[in-house]
Parts: sequence; structure tokens; C-alpha cells
Amino acid sequence: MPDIVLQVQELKKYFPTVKAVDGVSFQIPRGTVFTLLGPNGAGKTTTLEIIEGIRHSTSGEIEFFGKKMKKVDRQTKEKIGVLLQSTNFIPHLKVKETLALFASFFKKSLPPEQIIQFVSLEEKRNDLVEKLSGGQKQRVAIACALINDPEMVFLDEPTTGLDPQARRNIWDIIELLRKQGKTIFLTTHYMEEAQRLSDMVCIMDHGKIIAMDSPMGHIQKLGERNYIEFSMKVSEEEIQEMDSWDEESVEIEGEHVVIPTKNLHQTLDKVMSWARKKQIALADISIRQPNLEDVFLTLTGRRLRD
Amino acid sequence: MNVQLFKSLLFDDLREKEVLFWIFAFPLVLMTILTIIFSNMGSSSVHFKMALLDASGDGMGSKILHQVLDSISTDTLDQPALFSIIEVEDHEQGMNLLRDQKVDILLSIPTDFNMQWSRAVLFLRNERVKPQPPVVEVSRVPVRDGSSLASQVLEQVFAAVNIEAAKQMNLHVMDVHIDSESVGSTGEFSYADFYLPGVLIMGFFSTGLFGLGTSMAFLRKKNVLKRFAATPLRAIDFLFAQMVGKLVLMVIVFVMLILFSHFVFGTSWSILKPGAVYYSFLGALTALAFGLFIGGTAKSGNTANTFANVIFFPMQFLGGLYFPVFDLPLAVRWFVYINPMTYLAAGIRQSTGLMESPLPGYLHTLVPVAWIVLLWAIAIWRFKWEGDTV
Repeated sequence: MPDIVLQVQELKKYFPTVKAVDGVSFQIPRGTVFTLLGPNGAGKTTTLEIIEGIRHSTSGEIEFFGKKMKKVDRQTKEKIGVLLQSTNFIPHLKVKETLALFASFFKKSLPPEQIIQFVSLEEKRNDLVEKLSGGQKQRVAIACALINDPEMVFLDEPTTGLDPQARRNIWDIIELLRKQGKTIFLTTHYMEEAQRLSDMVCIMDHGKIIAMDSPMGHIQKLGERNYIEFSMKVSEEEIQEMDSWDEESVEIEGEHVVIPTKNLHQTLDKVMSWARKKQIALADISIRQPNLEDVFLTLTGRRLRD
Repeated sequence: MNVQLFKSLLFDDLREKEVLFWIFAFPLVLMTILTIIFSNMGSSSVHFKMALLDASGDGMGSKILHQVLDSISTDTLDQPALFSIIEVEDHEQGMNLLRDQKVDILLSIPTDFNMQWSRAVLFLRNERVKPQPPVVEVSRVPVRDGSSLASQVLEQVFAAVNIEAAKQMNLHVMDVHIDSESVGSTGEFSYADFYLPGVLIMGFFSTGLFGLGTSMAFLRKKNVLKRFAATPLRAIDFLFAQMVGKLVLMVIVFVMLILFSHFVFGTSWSILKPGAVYYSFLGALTALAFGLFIGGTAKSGNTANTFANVIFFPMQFLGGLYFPVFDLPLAVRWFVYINPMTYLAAGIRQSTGLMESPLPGYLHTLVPVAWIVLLWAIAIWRFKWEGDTV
């Protein structure tokens, strides 16, 4: 039996006009990275904030470290670290002062200098947090989430709004945490982030969990399938012609065309012959494996970013 | 108390330029502006109306007294008259004028004034007989600041005459008897002394409403409080640290303002009398209660800011901080009576001996304490870590 750190049963949060979380259940084994993947407004953050003890649920049960509770208590908060979706700090404090402040909220904490090193902010320790870049602020926020050496860390969309380099830095930190054996609860709407970091991905839409598996498990459920992608100028007539090529529907967005296929050689040959016959130039042609974005599209008919 | 949180909040305030200006510099600027403007206006802006009932007839004493009264009711080249005098026939007529607010005070010279004067002069060198000095009576309406001020000014005039007479003739010319409680003034009326309690209360409320209330609402709006909610920190510990931090700022304001006023405008140290310090502390707690109320209930920083402004300006202008408010029309006077600033400013001024409060003494404590209890209860009951989000 795996050591279950968190178990959630039939969790619901209803607002007057919307069912933000509608009967969500899952469990997270110790030392794993569990990801809630879904578009904006899917209910990921509300789910997370109920578990973090920031919000009350309408109904449902949470079992944290083997203890059942309606709302997370102070003892449990001692053992968890939290990164909110949008974190701000007391503006005129320095990095080391901010960490000392968060350390003071817990009975046990790590030395701020140790955490500063862990998130590579040694050179910024005496800078005011308001003067830091977005990526640096996010590293301070992660440092605050780790100051109490938590058993479980909640990271709500940790890379949203960051540039690619800053995003990779955060991914490195999360991978280091996983190596240290921390249990990580991640939410994201970036499929590559979920795919790269997660042991388990829970796909959420309209407040419900619609699929739960490992990243490979989700992809394998799509079956043997590849995607042919290229760019071209397309007319209505050409779209209709392309739609008749395969049993899967062709996805066209502007000049970008994606053709899913279970028979790669046959479909590729068909595409090239058709382009030659029509004297159409295909630009940026590529063939790729399926990913979680394709899983979400298959399950909901929409893309994650929609 | 979480000392680190207290220190962090204090550092945050002390590193914010706006806070430094509005909490520390602005009270000094306001004190300077008010004192310079009103001191320079001098008697040209201060003018009182006096009803005079002279039942004394002719005599040396009343002749000298009339010379004194003429000197304060006659314009000079560089200064307009301090008083204008309306002579009345009887006491009832004078009291009617006083009641109808047509005059600020009624000065009554009794029938035996000249006789008492003569006796005082006659036995001037006789050490065995010590006659009482002649007495004049001043009637006033204590709840009207103008009336209280006029009686104090007249007292000072007679005191000056007494001092001069004592120098010249070793004679105590006259005593002033005021027909209500003693005014208890300790010296000449000073605008700086008058404004100091008002500016102090203004400084406390500025720190409470904007430093505590608005900043708490902004921290909530920016999700800083929400982040705290995900830690074991208790709301009561957060609120306590906030209040102690702002109380420290208020103590700094108190010390700075008193030192500045004393060394620049020569205000009295009487502001440090225990009673005045007590009402100042009560004022700080009341200001914190208003700040907590706004910080605990406002959904956004902008709402809190608007709310703080809506409360702050009517309260200061209708709280007697800068000018008398008991003469205001009834339509707005109710606000004066429910306004805690009224009681705090009056309490400090009475404790310093500057001006007797027209209000019952127990209300100086009771009204602010009622506000403190009410607002703290609402703030703690309504406190939320996070703002309005779905």
C-alpha cells in the first residue's frame, strides 16, 4: 500500500452562479508529483485553495496525513508549503527579511540563507522584493513555500507569465524537490509542464475531473497515432477535401494545419500527392507524437488555451 | 505577539515615502500653516462682542475700568479692536443678548464697585486692614467656544491691569468673577497651544485610517493576506502586530510634534500632563479602531481609501480640531456630539489647562471607548484574509 499523503473525497465548492468544483476525488501518494491540468476557470485553483485551508468547501472531505478534516487546521499548515497563483509580498521588505517573516509563522523552519541558496537568489538577498524581476519574485515565492521544510508543496501555476528561461529555472527547482522526496501538488495549463514534471496528471474541466492517469497513460489511451503539421493558405474547398482524407478530423487554425492519423505513411503520401496536384507549397511540415494537449482536445473538443 | 511580523510591518511603513510624508511630515506642515496663519491674523481676525452692564455710577474705579474697556474696544492704527461693547440697561437684557448669541459675554459692574475701589485705595498702606479688591462679574455660555475664549481674553486683560497697578501702586485693582466654573487658563491664549491637540488627533487618525485601514485593504487586494492565510499565522496575531506597529508610528508622531511645536512655536509642556497623555493615548486607540474597521471590512484598497477620506474629513472639521464647533447650526451639531474627535480634543485641551471643556468629563472617555469597542468588535467579526474572488 502506498503512503497516501492527501486524499480528497467528493469535494464541492458552489458559488451562487457557478459550480467551481463539482465532486472532485483523488489521492496523492508520498513523494510524487500530482498535477491538475486544465484551462483557465476549470476549478484548479479553487480546489487547491480549499485544500490549502484558504477557502471553505461547500461539501466533501479532506484527509491530510491520515487525519480527516473539513478545513485544514494550523497543525497541518505547519507541514505544507504554498505558492499561490499570484503572489505578492509586503512591498518594502528585502528578500532575506521576507523569508525571515515567513519563517516566523512556523514552529520549525529552515535558515533563510539555506533556502536563498536553494533558489539561487544569493545576489539578491539584500534587494527589496518589489525591485525583483517576475522570475526572481517567483523564486522568492517558492522560497517562502519551502521555508518550513514542508512534507507537501502546493504550486499553483508556478510558471504562468514567465519567460522561457525563468520557466526552465522553476522546472529545475521542482525536479530538485522531487528528488528530495517532497510530495508536490501542481496546477498548470501548460501541457509540456505537466508532461515533463508529473507522475500523475488529473485533467479537470468545468469543475470536474474528466481523466486521471500518468502522462504516458493518457497518451497511450489515444492509441497509435501521429500528427502531421504544416502551414499553407487554405480555402473552404480545400478544407472540405482534407476533411475527407482520414477518419480523424483535420484541425485548421489560420494557416496552420494539424492532421491526426493512425496510418502515418499512407496519410503523409496522400498529403504530398494532393499538394503536388494542387500546386500548393507546404511550409514547416513536421510529424510529431501525441501530447497532453491532444488528450485534452480529444476529451473535450477544445484546446487547453481556449 | 509575532515580533518578526511587527518589525516587518514597521520596516515596510518606514521605507515608504508616502507614509513618511503623510504620517510624519504632514502634521508638522499643518501645525506650521495653522499657527502662522492664525497667529498672524492676530486680533484682526479675533473679535468678540461684549454686553456691558454698569451699575456703578460715577467714581474713580469705574472711570479707570472704562479706560481699560475703551482701550480694548477702540481700533488702533495697526490693530482693529478686540471687543465691541453693547451697553445694556439691566441684567436680563444682557442675558437675553448672550442667550441669543448676539454677544459672547456679559460684563457686569456692580453698584458698590466704586465704594470697594475707594476702600481698597484708602487702606492701601494700612497693614492691619486688608480690604477685598473690587469684583466684576463675567457671564458666558460655556458650550460656546467663542464665549469661553472671550471670557479668557477679558481675564487676561484684567490680569495685565492688575500687574501694572501692582507695579505702580502696590494695588490689586479688581478681581474677575465668572459666573460658571473657573476657566483655569494658565497663561496667555496661544494659537499654537490651541492647535497642537487638534493636529495630534489629526495625525493619529491619519495613521489609523490610511496607515492601518487602507494599507491592510491593499495587502488583502494584492493577495498578501491570502498568502498569510495559508500559514499557521492567526488573524488575531496579525491584527495585533498591525496595531502595535501603527501605535509605534503614533508615538513617533506625538514626540516629533510636541518637540517641533515647543521649539518652533513655543508651545507649553502642559501637553505632557498625565491627563493630556491619557487622552492622546485614548485618541491613538480610537484611531486604530477606525483603521481596523476599514481594513477589516473594505473589499479593496480603493474602497478603503474612499471610505477613509469620507470619514476623515468631516470628522476633523466637525471635531473641534481647528475651530470652535459648539456654535454650529443644529443640523450639523449632532455630528459634533457623536464624533469621538470632539471629546478627545476637548479632553486634551482641558487637561492642559488651555480651555475648559463644555462637555461632561465622563463623556471624554465614554464616547471614544464606545467607538473603540464597537469598531474593534466589527473588525474582528468581519475580518477576511482574502478579497472578493470566485
